[in-house]
Amino acid sequence: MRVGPVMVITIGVLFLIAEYSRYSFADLWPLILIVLGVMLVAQALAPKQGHVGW
Amino acid sequence: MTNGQPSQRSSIFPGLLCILLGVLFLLARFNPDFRLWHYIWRFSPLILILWGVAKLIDNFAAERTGEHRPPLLTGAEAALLILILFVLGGMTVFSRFHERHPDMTFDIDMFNQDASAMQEVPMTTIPAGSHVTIATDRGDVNVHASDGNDLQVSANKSAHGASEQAAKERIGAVDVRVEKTGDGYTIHPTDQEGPHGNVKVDLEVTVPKTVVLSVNTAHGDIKIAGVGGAVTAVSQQGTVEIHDSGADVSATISKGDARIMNVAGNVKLSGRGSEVEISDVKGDASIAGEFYGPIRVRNVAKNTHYNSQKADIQLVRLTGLLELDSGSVEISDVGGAAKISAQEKDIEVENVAGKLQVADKNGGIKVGYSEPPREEIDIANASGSVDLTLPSKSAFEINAFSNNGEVDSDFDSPTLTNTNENGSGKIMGRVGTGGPKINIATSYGPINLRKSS
Repeated sequence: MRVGPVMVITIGVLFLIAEYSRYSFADLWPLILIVLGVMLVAQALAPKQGHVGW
Repeated sequence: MTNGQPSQRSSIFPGLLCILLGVLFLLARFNPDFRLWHYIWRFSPLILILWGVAKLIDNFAAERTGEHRPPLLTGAEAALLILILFVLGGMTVFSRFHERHPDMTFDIDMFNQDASAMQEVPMTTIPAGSHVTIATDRGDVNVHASDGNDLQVSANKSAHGASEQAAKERIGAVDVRVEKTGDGYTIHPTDQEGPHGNVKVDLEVTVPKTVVLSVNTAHGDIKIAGVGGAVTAVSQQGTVEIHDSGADVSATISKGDARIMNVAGNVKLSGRGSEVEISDVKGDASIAGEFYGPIRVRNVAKNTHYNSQKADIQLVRLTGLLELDSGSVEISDVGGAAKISAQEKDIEVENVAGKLQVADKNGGIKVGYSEPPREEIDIANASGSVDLTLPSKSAFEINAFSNNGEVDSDFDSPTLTNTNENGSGKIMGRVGTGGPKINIATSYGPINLRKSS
């Protein structure tokens, strides 16, 4: 679970939402912070043994 | 451990911080009245608590799995914290500046477009003495009075949108209406709310001079001039200015300044805010609430009453000035009695014609008279000095006592004793014949009785 690719995907999704809904990117950008935060917490809490190739 | 070496865990703290900030920014985005910087500053110690809790969780997690626990603060976390502090500092400066100069607009929002449009509402003729109510959720209200019976409204609508088209659509949905209600007329815009904050509707209204007026805005300034009937103004965020009013004026503000001038009736101001200026009132003036100041009240024909957590002031016929600041109270020229009680403020009073009562705590008191006093003077201070200056030809009977401090008197008379013993001081006796009683007491601090030429 690498952070970089997930962030790229998130930003892409946000731009799509901004294009097709009444919300603009200016409304949605804090979601990037939230997704990043969730990723970091998940990464810190997940046990490291038994996983290969994160 | 896969390779025999315990690996190091990363901390959950940066992640939690990111989530917290993200949620705050989202809240601020969708609720324009949410004062983000205010909350972040106020609750900044929570970041420390969050940090500690996160580190505790890190430790437990590390013990459970036998890994090294993460260090208290890694280089990356320190960098993140410093970055956040910089951003917060910058934004605080920006929002402070913005609050002081609300007319300046900064478009830092490159993803948003603005649009604005005017709307003229057809003129309505209304009976003399009608009750007119003006309400807008966001926008300034400017009311003038004119002779005749015409009610005239023009509106300037402006909005943000993801595109110029979207902003125009938002504006198009808003209609400013004048409606006949039970006892009068209501002027209000429809459908102001939206995802990008409310559509701002500035209203320019001309009313007949005779109306009774109520104005209400959640976010904007109110200006009212020349209305003959009673005026009520409520602004949750913005400045209220009321001039040349023919009857009572009542204003409530939650943030911003208030200026009320030339009123034929009573003035009542309540709420919280910063600067207050009230002048030339034919009736009573009352101010209740917490205002940072400076607060200036001038020329009130009847009673002036100021009440806040730190001070209560009642003056009869203020012909001069009452000025309050965070640390001081200054009063000059009162035609009747004055009663002042305060805490943590330096009090300066000049020329009170009626009975004077001053009580303070942790602040100095200075009282002066340019004419010999004719009414009783009562000064009580806790932890603070008292200076009383009287003209040399004054006559009075004095009883002044400092529990822990020296007393000193410029006045000399065979019937006046002035003693300093064991740290406490006392002035007792009389000067001249007749004259009022003067009582001064302080628990800690000097008392000086001065003679002015």
